[in-house]
Amino acid sequence: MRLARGSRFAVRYALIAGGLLSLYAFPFELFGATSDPLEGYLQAFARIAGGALRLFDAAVSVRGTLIDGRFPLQVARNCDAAEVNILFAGAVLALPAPWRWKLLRVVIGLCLLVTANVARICALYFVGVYRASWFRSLHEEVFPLALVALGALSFVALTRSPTSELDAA
Amino acid sequence: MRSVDFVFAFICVFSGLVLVSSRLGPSYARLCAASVSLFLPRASLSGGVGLELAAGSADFVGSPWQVSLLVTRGGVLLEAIPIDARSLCFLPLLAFTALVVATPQIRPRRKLGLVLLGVPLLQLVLLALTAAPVLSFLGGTGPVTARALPLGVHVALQVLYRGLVAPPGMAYALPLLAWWGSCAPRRCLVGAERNGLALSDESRYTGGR
Repeated sequence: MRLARGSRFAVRYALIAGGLLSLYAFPFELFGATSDPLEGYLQAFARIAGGALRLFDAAVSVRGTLIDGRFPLQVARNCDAAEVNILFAGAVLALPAPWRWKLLRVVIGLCLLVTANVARICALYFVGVYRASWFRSLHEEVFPLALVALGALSFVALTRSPTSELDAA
Repeated sequence: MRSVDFVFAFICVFSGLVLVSSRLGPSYARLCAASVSLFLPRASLSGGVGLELAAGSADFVGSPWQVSLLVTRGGVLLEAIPIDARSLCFLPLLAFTALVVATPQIRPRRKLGLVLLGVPLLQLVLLALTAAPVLSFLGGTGPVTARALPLGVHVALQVLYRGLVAPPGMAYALPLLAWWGSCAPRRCLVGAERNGLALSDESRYTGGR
């Protein structure tokens, strides 16, 4: 049975994004793991965010996944916006296009999303310092919406044309 | 510019819906509690464990959007699991509605149909996903076991929860995907092909090489 073109893309997208999300969300502790396999990755992310924050506030320091300062932030799972990154990358990888074309766009898009997420953590730090009452709403409702919107717009913008200035560069 | 127009329209509609519905918390929490209660077993589970859903709780100084799953044994409260109906269910429904309303070039009648059909379906999906960690918690991974579940089921439930429920971005990604699946594809395929993006023809990407 030949699927419609949109359906083929949807099936590929579901398989790729679903597989990556399953890997990220896998409960290794149910199989005896005593530490989070992503701990090193989260620590690296905390160092990046802490480094960016230190440009604006010298009081910031990083210990493991804890960004310490005037308003401590713990970088836990989901603080890295992995779901947005996976959904974006999965959508690009599901396109019927050459792998070089797709990988270039995945790299550019992920750089953009990671930068936006680091900016989000910096913003949350200063919101916590100066407007703590806004923290929960921004952290749980506003910023996730902004990141998902950015991911969607990045997909539209980066996959707009098959042969674009990116390929010519 | 079309994307900017759409994003602006979405923000306006979504913000308006959020402001208008800010006082609906207790009513929506009661609706969620009543809906899920239909699927809860009436008889006690193993070990005399009973389950009951309550909108809000006298034990919590919490949000009006809170639903509490009360786990009892012999009439004694063992656990009260708070569930935030706003972030897990209500905001995604508003996001889906705003996406449909903001989509241009779709007749109002079709938009209404999509909202009337899509919102209840999405609500059911969201309630089912929200139940995933609770089932795992009561199935052996928590302090109270209502009904023991196999390891494979626990893995599936935890993957569903950590992948689709726990990440805050999923509250907006799921309605975005539902919108994409229900009313965006035809338009986007037409628009995408106009921009040279063919979802089925790889040769378009190689310029015919």
